[in-house]
Amino acid sequence: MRKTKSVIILIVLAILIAFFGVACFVSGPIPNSTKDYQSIFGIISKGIDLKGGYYAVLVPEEGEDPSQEDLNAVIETLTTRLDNSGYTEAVINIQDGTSLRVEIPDVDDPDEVIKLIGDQGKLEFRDASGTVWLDGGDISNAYPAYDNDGKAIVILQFTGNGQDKFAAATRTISAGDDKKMSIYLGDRLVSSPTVNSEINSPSAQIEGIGEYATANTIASVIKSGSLDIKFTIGEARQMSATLGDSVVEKAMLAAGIGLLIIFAILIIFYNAMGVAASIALVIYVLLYVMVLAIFPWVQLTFPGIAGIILSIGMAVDANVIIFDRIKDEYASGKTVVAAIKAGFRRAVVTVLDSNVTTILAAIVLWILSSGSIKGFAITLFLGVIISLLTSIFITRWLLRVLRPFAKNEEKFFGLNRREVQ
Amino acid sequence: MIDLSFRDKKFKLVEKFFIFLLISVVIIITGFVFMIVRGMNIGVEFGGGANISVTVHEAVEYNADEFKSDFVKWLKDKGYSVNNTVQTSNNDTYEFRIGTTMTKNGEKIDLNAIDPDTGDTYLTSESGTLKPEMTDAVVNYFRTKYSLSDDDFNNDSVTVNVHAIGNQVMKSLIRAAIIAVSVAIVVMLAYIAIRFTWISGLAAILALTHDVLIMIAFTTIFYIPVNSTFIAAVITIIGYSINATIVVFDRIREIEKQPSFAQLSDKEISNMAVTQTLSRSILTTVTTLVMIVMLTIFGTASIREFAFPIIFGLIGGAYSSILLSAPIWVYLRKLFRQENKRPKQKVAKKKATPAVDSVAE
Repeated sequence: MRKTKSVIILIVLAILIAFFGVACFVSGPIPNSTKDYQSIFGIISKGIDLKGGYYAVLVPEEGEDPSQEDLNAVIETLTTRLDNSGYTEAVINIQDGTSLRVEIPDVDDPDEVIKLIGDQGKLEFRDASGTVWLDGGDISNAYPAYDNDGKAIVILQFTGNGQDKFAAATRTISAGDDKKMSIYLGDRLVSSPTVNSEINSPSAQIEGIGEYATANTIASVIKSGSLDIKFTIGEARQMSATLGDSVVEKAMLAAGIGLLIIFAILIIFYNAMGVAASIALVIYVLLYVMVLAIFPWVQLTFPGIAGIILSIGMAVDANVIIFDRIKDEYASGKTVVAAIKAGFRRAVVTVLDSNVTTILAAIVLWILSSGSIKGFAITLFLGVIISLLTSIFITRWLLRVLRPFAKNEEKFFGLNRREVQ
Repeated sequence: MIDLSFRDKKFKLVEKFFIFLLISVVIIITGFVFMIVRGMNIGVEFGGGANISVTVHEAVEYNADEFKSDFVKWLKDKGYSVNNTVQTSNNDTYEFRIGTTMTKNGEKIDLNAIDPDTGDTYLTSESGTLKPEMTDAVVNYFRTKYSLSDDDFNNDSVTVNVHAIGNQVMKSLIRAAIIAVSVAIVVMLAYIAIRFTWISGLAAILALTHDVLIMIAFTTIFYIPVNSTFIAAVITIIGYSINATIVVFDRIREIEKQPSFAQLSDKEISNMAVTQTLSRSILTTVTTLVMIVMLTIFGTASIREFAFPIIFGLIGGAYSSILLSAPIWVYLRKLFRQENKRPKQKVAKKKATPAVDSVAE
């Protein structure tokens, strides 16, 4: 390779690295536009531990043995409820075969969310003797409203059949002694109005609800239909967002400084080969961020970010193995070019064997685990693959690009002829 | 430029194996003694407990730090064990986490146990009474401390939420992780058995077990909180450890195949392999440690909870791959009477190629 060609390649490479570096990590306003540019790192989907939000695990009550289909039906119902209440980014996953993990970003009022997802959603109109006259199936629509006194209520609209049932119920109850109709949500009595005559109306209202937000929750629970399975909340937690922001910022700062120290170490020990490895490491980081942004099932969690940073330290490994090998080959009497060639060829076996074990472990974890561990396995898997590619192919190519700058190749690449024992 | 090469050195590592092993065993036993005597510092996420959040709505001037520490003191006086406190993005919201053991009437209760009076766990019944009790306590605190009247500060001025965090979810997560890791280990063992020998595989798994045990021991001794990130930390160390061990075994395999070294004993081969890979072992450990140490320096408390176990695991991993893995291989071969078994020397098949050159082909 000629020196001019190398200079051009390095300049182009520097421009590309600068461009993608900015594209990956810098967010900000776009000139002459009202929109903001979102960095590639910024668009990687983040877990609620970084974004903030609320998560709850619904565990089936004892005696319940939900099938996969049952759970899918429940997920559909819960998704409808959450969507109706504005939590469109909520994610529901099956955990351990029978439990449901619900993750909801940006929650202000955890109590309402608990009611929304924790409520089985069974609606029943009962008389004093406990006979059920109507249930959720007789309701075509439900929505929150205010009554004339400004109190929050839920308006229920009946189906045609429901209206007949309601008329029959009010007729019977008003003729009885008690005259109370009890409206139950699950096992909870929400209101028990007095019925004095038959009511033949397409709608009815539930009073005594309290706040409007609660009325809204109850309405969307009724509208979405009831769950066939009873759940208890196994675990529930609010996670704050800014906590996540500062974690990401601090982790990035740590990564930046750590990277500079690693450059210094590589260059001290391997001279020009260290320069090539450092450039390859930068390319590794940029590629990794872009791949994580492309793969839709990557969700970056806090241990995921720490894992990525750690992988930068580990990515050096392949180059260290290769460079040590090149040094050995040169020491045993080969020319610089032959030593580099042989060094790569020999070391690749070592590098592959040591990394394939990690890749296999990551694949097993990916298949067998769930939740945050699955996410961790995916980032681990992608990291190892990308580091293999950059540290083998890009470093080798960079060594060729750098060679024309050498006045004394032995010194330039940090090699010497000491005899191997 | 520094040349970190140990090519000319002759270390006698296998001969000192039992001293190195003894050091590890002492650390691991110390860890388990600590675990029995004091226990691990199990976080709320792992062991269960409750998350308490207190929000002050009223625009009163108050000392946030003082409030936080006074409230923690109040919780402790009530017998709860407070694990963690955080002031969230909204500066007037405070999160407190209490663990599963509390002292009530001089007795230690496990909040996850079932309360015979209610049929629910103690945790559920406790968090029911805790909410109004805490609201009153906070309101009273503000009124007396800052001389506020009922109109200035009442039950509407604060919101208290208590959420029980059960540990059955975490338990099933741990169970799933253990199964996944076990399968992963079997798969890795199979791969190493195919590419190397099954004894190498066994030695690598023993070294890996050592690293994880060292990690657990130090985490227990230094009382680092254990949360869900600990599982990720263990997985990271498993990947790292197996990597480091394979590099050493790869060198052993290579030396074994060279006819010029055919007369060497297992011990000599091991010492040579470790010496030749020493600069790599040191450099990779250092670069990885640089990153994780940076994370602990700049990180938050939760980053440190993740980073410290990893640092312990990395040190254990470097120690075992340099000082233990090759000797374990030697002694396992002795145990299974395979010490003179050498792999087929591929060189024999090739014609004029020098021995050293054909290994990687």
